Amino acid sequence: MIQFKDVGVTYAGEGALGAVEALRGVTLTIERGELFSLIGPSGCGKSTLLNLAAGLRGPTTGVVTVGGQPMPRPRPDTIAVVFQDYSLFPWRTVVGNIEAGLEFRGVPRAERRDRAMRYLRMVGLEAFAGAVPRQLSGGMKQRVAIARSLSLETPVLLMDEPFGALDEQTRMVLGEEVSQIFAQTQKTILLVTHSLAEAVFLSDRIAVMSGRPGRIREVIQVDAPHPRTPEFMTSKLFHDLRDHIFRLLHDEMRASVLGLHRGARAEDRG
Amino acid sequence: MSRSIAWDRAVLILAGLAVWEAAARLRWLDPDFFSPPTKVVGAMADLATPPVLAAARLTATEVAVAFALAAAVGVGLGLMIGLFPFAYRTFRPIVLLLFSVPKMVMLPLFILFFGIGLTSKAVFAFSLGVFPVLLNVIAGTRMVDRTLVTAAYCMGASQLGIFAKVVLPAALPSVITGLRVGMTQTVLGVLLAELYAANTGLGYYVSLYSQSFKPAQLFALFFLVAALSIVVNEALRAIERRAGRWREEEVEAEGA
Repeated sequence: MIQFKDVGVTYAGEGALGAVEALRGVTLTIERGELFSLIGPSGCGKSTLLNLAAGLRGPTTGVVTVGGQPMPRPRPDTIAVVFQDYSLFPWRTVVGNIEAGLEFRGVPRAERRDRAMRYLRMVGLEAFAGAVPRQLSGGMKQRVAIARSLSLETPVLLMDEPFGALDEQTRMVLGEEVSQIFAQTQKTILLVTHSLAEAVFLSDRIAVMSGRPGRIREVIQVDAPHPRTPEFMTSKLFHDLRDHIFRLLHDEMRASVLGLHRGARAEDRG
Repeated sequence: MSRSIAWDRAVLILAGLAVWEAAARLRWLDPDFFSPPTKVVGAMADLATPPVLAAARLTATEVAVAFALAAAVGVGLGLMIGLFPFAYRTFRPIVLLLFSVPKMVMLPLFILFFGIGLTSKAVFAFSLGVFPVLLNVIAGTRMVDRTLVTAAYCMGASQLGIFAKVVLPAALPSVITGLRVGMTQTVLGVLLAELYAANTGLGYYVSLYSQSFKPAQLFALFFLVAALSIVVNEALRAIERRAGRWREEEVEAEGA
């Protein structure tokens, strides 16, 4: 469904920084109906990969296709995007925010309210239909954003660290909820995250990325049926996978956080 | 709590008026310059004469013409400069330079060009009123959250859809703030121009009453103008609060 073929992205240099190579030689295929996670240290280009799939930017080298077609611009009939900062329109009510997406898509007015309410019910927020975003907690805002993306009824959903700004408890509860919803909807989902637990809990497969320039280190399969329950989080499989990814990421994260990356990678190559 | 503050305020104002009344009656103040408040209230009846009412209508017309111009040009040009990076780079420095010129020095020029009638007043008031509108509209348009624009774009919004449903509503509170500040500047401009050179209008009567030592009429006119300005400003502020309710933090007006 989503294909990256030998994709590289280099950002043109600004000022003293010079050109930055964000991605190099990324080849990935995300199957139809799969929940695929990208995880890696900050600055590894995982959000860039998602923007490529969203049609918000093009690759410097290589090819990106969704459903077999290249992505020179967003395809709202095929792809919905959930952003980390919720991106709700603060002047609209909760239900008005969901209707906004349907307005942009050209859904007739008469249909919008019913459809918006249906998806609002799905995320358990129908009681807040008339509230404005300012009155909601972070977790509630993200549920509205998710309901808005689902209401567009696209086969593909892209999520850029959707739970990144939430606290640990909220993201756990939201994760379970989302797992239930996704099991029903059969969408192809690309999820960018930096939470190991979230990636293992939600995904069918996980790509672990290395630091700048971002490359795929390993793709890990999570063999557990959906929807997943909290028990899965205490299973041996969950812990083994989590530990495995942790070991893969640990050095990368240290290097990225301490700013050793360029040097470290130069040694690798040399 | 708030009740007792209101009470304190009323007492303070009444005390002030009482001191003023006493000072004027006891001739501590020169009666050529100060009238007691009771006489000021009486003088309000003098204002209800055909020439003064006609002057008030003219002033209102001048304010309306100048404000309509300031609003149209300020919003139109402001949106253009705010939306298009090329226009922003080209015109914003020019706008800021013109903004910093003391408009007062241009008043004699406007009178030379347009005479002492309505046109020179409206043009001068426009030159004061347009800047708050322009600067607030530019700032409001540029402050629009980029991720909201990206989100709308991903949901299939057209350029026009993004403008109408993302940029305009996001900028609306700043637009209204600009209009409110622009309105006060416009009123100021009209009155200044009338004080400077006119043969009618409220500003002309302010000047006439002060030059002919009629303090009661002067103060009466002053209080009426003040009351009207406060009503207009408060009404605009109420609209501004409504439009900006969704904003989480207060944003200071530019060019106030």
